[in-house]
Amino acid sequence: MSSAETERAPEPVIRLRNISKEFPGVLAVDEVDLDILPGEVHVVAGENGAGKSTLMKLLSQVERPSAGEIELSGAPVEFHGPRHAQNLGVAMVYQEFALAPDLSVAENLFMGREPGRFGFVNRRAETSEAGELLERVGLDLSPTRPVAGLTVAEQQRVEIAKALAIEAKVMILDEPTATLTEREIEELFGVIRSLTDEGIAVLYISHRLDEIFRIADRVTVMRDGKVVDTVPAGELDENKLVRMMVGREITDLYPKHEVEIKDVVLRATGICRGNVLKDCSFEMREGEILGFAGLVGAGRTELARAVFGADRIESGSIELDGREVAVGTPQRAIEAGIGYLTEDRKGEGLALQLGVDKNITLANLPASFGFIDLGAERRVAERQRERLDIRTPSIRRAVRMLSGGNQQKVVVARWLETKARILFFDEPTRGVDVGAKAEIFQLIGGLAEEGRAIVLISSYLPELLNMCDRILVMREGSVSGEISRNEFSEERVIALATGAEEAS
Amino acid sequence: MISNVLTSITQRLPDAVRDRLYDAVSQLAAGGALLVIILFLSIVSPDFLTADNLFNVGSQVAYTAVMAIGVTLVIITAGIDLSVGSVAALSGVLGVMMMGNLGLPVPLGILGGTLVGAGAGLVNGLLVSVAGLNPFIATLGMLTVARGLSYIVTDAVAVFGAPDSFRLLGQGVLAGGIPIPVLIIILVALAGYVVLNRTRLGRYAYAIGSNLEAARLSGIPVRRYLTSVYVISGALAGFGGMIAASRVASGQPNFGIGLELDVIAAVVIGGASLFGGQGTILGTLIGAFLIALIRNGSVLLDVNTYYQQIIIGVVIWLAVYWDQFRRKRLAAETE
Amino acid sequence: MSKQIVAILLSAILALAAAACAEVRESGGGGGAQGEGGGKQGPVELAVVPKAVGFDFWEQVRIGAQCAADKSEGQVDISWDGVTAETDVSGQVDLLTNFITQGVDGLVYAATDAKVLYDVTKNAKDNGVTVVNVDSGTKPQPEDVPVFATDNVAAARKVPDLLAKELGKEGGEVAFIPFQQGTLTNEQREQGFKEGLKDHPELKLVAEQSSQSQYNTALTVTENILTANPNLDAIFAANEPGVLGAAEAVRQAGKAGDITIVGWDGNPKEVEAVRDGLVSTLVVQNPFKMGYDGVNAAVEIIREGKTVQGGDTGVTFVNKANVDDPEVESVLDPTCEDPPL
Repeated sequence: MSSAETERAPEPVIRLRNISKEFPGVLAVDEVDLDILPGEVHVVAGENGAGKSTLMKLLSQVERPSAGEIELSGAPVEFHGPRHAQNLGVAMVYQEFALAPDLSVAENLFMGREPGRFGFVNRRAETSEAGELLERVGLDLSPTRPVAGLTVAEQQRVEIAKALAIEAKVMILDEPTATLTEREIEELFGVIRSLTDEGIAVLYISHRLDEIFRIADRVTVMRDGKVVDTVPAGELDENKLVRMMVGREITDLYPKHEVEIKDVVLRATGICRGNVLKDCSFEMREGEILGFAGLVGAGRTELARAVFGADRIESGSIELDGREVAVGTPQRAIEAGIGYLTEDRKGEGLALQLGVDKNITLANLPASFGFIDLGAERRVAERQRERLDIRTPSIRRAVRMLSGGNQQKVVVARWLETKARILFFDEPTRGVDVGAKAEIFQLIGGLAEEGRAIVLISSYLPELLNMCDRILVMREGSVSGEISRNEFSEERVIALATGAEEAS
Repeated sequence: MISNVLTSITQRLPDAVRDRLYDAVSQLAAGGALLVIILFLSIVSPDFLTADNLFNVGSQVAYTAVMAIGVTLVIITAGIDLSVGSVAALSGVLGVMMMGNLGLPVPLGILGGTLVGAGAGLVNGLLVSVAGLNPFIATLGMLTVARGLSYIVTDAVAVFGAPDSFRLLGQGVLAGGIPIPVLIIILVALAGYVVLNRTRLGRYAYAIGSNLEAARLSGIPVRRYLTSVYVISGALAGFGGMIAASRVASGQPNFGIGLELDVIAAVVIGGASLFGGQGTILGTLIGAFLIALIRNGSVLLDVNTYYQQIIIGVVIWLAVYWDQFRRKRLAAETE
Repeated sequence: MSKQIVAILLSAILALAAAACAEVRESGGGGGAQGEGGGKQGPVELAVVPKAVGFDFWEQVRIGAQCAADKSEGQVDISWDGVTAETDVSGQVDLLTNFITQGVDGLVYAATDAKVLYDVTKNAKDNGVTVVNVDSGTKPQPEDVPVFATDNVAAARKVPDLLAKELGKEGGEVAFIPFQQGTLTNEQREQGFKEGLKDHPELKLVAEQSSQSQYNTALTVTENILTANPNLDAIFAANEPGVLGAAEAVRQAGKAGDITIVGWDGNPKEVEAVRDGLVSTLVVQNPFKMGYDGVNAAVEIIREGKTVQGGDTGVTFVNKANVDDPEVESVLDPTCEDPPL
């Protein structure tokens, strides 16, 4: 778990003293003191809005501190901008990569510092140096390949290589595992360890609890812009960590209720769509939470969308309550009582500029002869706000102003309004704080109790293992197996997801 | 730097007020500019603040305002309609021909012209929603097609022959001296307001413009509503064309060349975002009047036509800058 | 990398080849002044291009051109085409350039922009295409390219005289409605009008707003001018849409007959306005003659290879008194059977 041994230089490579950052009306970072030691993996944990991202922006000189000093290797640092930070050896790897997809790996690695003179680029040097860097991050591909063809994990590795290109002393990784598979996460951790072996300090932002315990040497927890504490990872356990992040006790991260599971309410048979879905079949029962597991790209979202009518299917049938139905479009699916909460709530789920009330009624407008009953709409919105505890000063507030967790609740409210009996939740807790996550699982559990049939799609195994009654595992477009709760294990799921074992 | 000053001022307001403020802020900005221009012209030109002149302006801006209301709906869906000037011309000439050559009574002639516009809008709507063409391209095509058709059906010469009562639409006056075009603006604006705020069509237009995929996945039949929006824009362009034709008692095939720019400028100045999801009738009206007053004031003050273009262009820049500022503020507040 | 070098080399070679081939094309009489040397017999193809299609004025140019073609010995074919707005300068340039590429024998055209179209004339001549201008020439006007047009300056100079006659010794306030800056005819009429004003100190120019050659725009600006100048006595509109728009504005303001309107051109609606007493005098050009003389000149240059001089096609002042005279009729409504020549 810990990386380099006791041969650490006692001098911190970065020291933040009394750093504050104020935006108009918001104190994002509040008198933070922090030391980063060379060769350590230092995790910065906290909820959304805790100030982690802003702190990283201060370190990488994307933002200027309002107060306080930053020292690099004992010498005070003046603010000059991101380029300056890079020159000093601070490299930032963003969640959304800063790569130009049409350019090659080598070109991206040396963007802005291409080897060569008089404006001409020395391509041979560029390619060979790129090759060396790729080796150091364990990426075995040609530097002349365009970035666009690389997987997300590979692109991330290129970003890390970029950091090495500038001879970083500190590498900052912002939520690096959000879009990675289990195996890729393991490989990433391997790369991180090799970097720290070389003496590079890795600053790792995350709120994924189990990862924090796997990779961290020390953990700094932030809350409301302040540092709560910095502790060695060995001294932490899950409860303590959550308590530090949230400020209160969360007794039940995964509130799983005992629910009587009744009849089959939806049966999908032989769903095919090109190369994406190959003869997939599954059943959903009243009161049951069925999980869809699999690697990224396995087809989980696609299967849900196909049943919801968001994408055309080439063949296959869907039965509701034993009767075959043609679902074809989202409109018909909704009428049939099926709801689908998208993976990407901002991109596909919410009309960000519209108010909370308008988003809630979007799939089921109270209207007659084309005229909206505004009073009914208001009542619906208030009712949902109450029921789901959506935190917003007013139901007319534009949804973009809400936090991730509350935005997700608005989406849930919308689907509750459609009285859907069958609900697909696609990554419902992505980008949601620990506190709100528990609320959402509570909600999902409650919906199952009411007799609805739920599919929960998640890339985060602990969620599935804790919340689901059954897990359907997909691999490369087909269903590779089903596991019921009494047989749940991480190994089983991963085996089915990666193909190590065929259907049980 | 201006952004920061404005931000620190607005940040000190209580939340609820600030919300409403941002909602109305573009209208405020444009409305404020309108007031400033009115004050300025009243002081500088003695003829400006007279009933005669103001009614004149109302008549002059009527067709632009009516068309702009239609285009507002389209822009809210994150689309655009570049064809309104040409469609207005086509509707004008065909409407006049229906009355003059086919002998249709005036109300039917006006209806006919409006339907021509609606038809053009239907084509636009289908191109955008079914064929999946970019609205800019689709309506650009209609711009040239409609203009060409205007020339073909008229042999490139203006058409006359409508009965005298046709003049009432664009030149008629009600009791108290209120010109009929002004009444028309009010009626169309009210209808537009109701549609945008009280009907499914309006609500879905905002949703589609704000997030097309979210709208689709919420079960909204996007194609149907998107097409409807273009039909309305076309119909209002056609109706505007009839008003313009009525003002000169003839169908002019070269009417409205470049008019789409005034129309779109009015909508943008009024606070609509070209990215969709935002826009109001009041804002559009303010924008249209702002432009009309700039033109009116320029003549009253004997300013060169070409300076008017520059002034209007600068106003557009300011309006768009303000829109960007507002977006950045809102974005910053949501992590 | 070597692939790229090859690609660049190939492109360079192709470009050079294209340029060379362009030079080799037949250019009859290229380089020299047109009309020199022997002429061409057989069918003559002419492109006749107005400033814009859509006005009576240009329609009459077409009738005159067609008449000359019909009456000409031997076969003369006319292609009539134009852009849709007199402001579409680049559109006209493209149109004319296309005709040159198609290999017409001659261009008979009215320039939307005097300076810009000079290059087109030059291009045409370099390719051996004869050029004749009607209504509006170019700046500079090559000596061997004749222009058949109204002497706008001289005609416009007379307008203040007409106004003065109407308004009497006390004179009065005058508004001017030009149409398109940059057009030769616009500048000429403006020049002549303002020169003529100098001789009439009793006439005061109080407003000047462009109509952009659009009826609705003319209506709107005249309305506003009337608001700003309630004591306006006269309006001079420099082309047809301006006249119609101004007259309509005056009529709607209830000032028909109180304001003297003098304007250019004589399309049926303008003539009607004269009959109704809305418009006092029309300065009617002879577009028929422009087209007629223009085509004939082009044919002469092409067939007989001589240089031809242009000419002033003249104006007729039409007012209520003479509107029904036969000569005026012939100018207002020219036909090949009853040509105003």
